[in-house]
Amino acid sequence: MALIMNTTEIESALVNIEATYPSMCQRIELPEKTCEARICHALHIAKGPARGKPTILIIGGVHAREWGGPDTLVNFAADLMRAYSNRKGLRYLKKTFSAVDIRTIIEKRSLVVFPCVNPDGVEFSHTKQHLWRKNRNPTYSKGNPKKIGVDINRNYDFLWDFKKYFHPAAWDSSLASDDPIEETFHGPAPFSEPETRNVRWLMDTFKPAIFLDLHSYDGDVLYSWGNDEDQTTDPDQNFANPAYDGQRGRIGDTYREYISLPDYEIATGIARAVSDAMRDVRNRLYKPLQGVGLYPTCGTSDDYAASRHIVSPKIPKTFAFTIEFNFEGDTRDPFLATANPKTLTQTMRDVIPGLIALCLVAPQALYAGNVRSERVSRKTANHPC
Amino acid sequence: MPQRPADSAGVRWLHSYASGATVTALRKAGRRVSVLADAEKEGKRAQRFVGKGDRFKGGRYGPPGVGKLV
Repeated sequence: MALIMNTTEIESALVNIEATYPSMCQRIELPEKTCEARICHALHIAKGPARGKPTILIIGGVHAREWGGPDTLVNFAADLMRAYSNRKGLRYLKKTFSAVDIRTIIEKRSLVVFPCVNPDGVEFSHTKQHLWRKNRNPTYSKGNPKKIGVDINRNYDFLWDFKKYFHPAAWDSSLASDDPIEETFHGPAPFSEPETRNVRWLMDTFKPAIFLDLHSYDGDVLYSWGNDEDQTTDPDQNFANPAYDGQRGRIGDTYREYISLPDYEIATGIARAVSDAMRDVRNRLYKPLQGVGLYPTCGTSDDYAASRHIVSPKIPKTFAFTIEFNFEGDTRDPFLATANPKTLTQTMRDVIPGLIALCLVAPQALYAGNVRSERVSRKTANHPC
Repeated sequence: MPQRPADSAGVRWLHSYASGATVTALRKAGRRVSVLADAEKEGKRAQRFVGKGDRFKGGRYGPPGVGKLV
């Protein structure tokens, strides 16, 4: 039976995986220490040179109370290594991947896994307030413990200044907040936090074709965009165009976020492939859903990842996703469902097949990255990188 | 946290964490509040299922994985 890994164990697990499989796995020290001086590590998994292979970047442990994300990613890496070194496939209840599938991932993909982006927050949630969400940065709290922390997943440079970019009717606490007491406090500036800078560093360094952020809960596989509904017909109606400032974030109105039709088809196709693999485990549907279907957001990792190539054309295109694992009805407190060892194991068995499927379909994204089909207004400075 | 849209009758349910005082205030204001669980108590119980110390002994041992080799 699996117990939730504490932050020390997450780091020790990465040490073990690297030491056991040194020819295909390398631990990467992230450049920024957390506010409580923790050093974070990711794993880079690739047999042979990574050049020319599609890179997949997967992160977890962003929101502290969403227990089970880091455990899933550590066991995902462990499963891949174990299967490859034994020349075997992997089975998760009714979903099976062949030895060829595993070999494809290890030899023909470049996979970066960052299991615990927010170890300070995770530690606080494990030992003090289990419902803690943010990091533990005290800088903006003015001594009030209730005001400690920044929501890491509102701190990326995508429409971060929500009062400028979003319609006032969309300003609510799920979008973002500039009040440190709120759970979605977005910090004083984009990338004010070491945790978001670490993720940006991974994106800058590895230039992923696919990015995925693992969260809980709602039972979805989310694809771009998260700020407003998608549309494929008007390229000028996009996040970088100041003509639409103050109009975004209202569902059902005239503003919708542009995504080219080919990109939309690829994004939804990848989300479906992930969802299908997860459903095959035990017929539990993780529904593919546009990010805004959860609620409108800004400053999130997935939209930032997906927007980088539009803002800076030299950056390769990234298709970005979020999995929200577990469901509202799972327990009385869905964030804590994975505290039950049985549920934790089952959650990992549900999610890891989705991650394997994501790696297998990655070439679709790489191909699309070489076909620059969209025509998006870049004449503005809405999104300085 | 995820929130459902209004149902066909126009009723909107919000899944939330709230203090006892907030629950009382909401009820006084005419809202229907169902208390699903004592979050504080559930949290303390859940924290017992977090690993203690370092089961992997600094990397000498590793996670077993959850997939079956086939």
